[in-house]
Amino acid sequence: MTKELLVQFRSNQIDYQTVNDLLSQLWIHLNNKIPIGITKKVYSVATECLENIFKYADNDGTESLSFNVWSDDQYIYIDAENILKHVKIAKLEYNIDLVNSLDKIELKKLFKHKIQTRKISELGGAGLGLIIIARKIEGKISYKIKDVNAHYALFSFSAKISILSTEENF
Amino acid sequence: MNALNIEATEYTPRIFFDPAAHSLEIAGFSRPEDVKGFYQKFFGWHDTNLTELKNNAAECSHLDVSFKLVYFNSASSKCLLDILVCLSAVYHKKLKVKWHYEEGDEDLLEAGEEFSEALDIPFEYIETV
Repeated sequence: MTKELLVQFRSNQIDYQTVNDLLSQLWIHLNNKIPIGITKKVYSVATECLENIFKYADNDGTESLSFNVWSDDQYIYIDAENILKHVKIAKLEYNIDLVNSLDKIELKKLFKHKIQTRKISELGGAGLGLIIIARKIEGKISYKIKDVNAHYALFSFSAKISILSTEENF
Repeated sequence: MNALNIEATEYTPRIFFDPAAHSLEIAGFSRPEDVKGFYQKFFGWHDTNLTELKNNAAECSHLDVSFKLVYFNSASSKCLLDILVCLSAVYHKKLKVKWHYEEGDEDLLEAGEEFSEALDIPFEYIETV
């Protein structure tokens, strides 16, 4: 099975220009090489993932923030890690467990409810990102939380998107 | 009342609203760093010109609304829905929405269908090659 690393990033923090650069790299790797529907799914999951990191990740001074996109013959994988203050963990776990517990129809209903009732937050989010990710990926969002010290934990995220056509080459 | 003309950038869409011509077009990419700030350009203009928009709505037979978006992020989807809610409150059943999507982009088509369902406004779906 052929594996290819499409996008790789590691640092202690991320700014929006870097978000733009990473997504541009990803678009160049995918566009016109795989069906547009899959390109858009991957781009969408990557965007929501990076924007969540941009908005919510904390910086403990270590290079614990990473974002990688890689592919094999069947899937495109998005893996990300970032530091979070402990106070943010419970809500994040709840939200991921919630979307993971729902099937595609229930996720659609949840999205419809939230988009009609939620407002844009001060951080610029609409509370829809995890729902969008869950709707577009194969299977469930995989995550781990590991305490780093008394103040911070390391949050690891992983998701994959199916490549429907196996005839395309990267 | 002047038309609202917001030029597209790499990460923000073109928004051109010309009530005199009874047309609104939103096209391109929507992934602004400050999504609230960007779309406030529309909502602010809308609020400033609300009385004239209501007069325009009363006089016109319909308002053509064209969405020609390549991609929009989750925060943008909220703002786009809110734009339609604003327009619907003024133009009511006079909105004629055309939702363009690229052939093969089933997610974008579905997004349009979900907006249509949320607002109870029929959309025309136009597949582009």
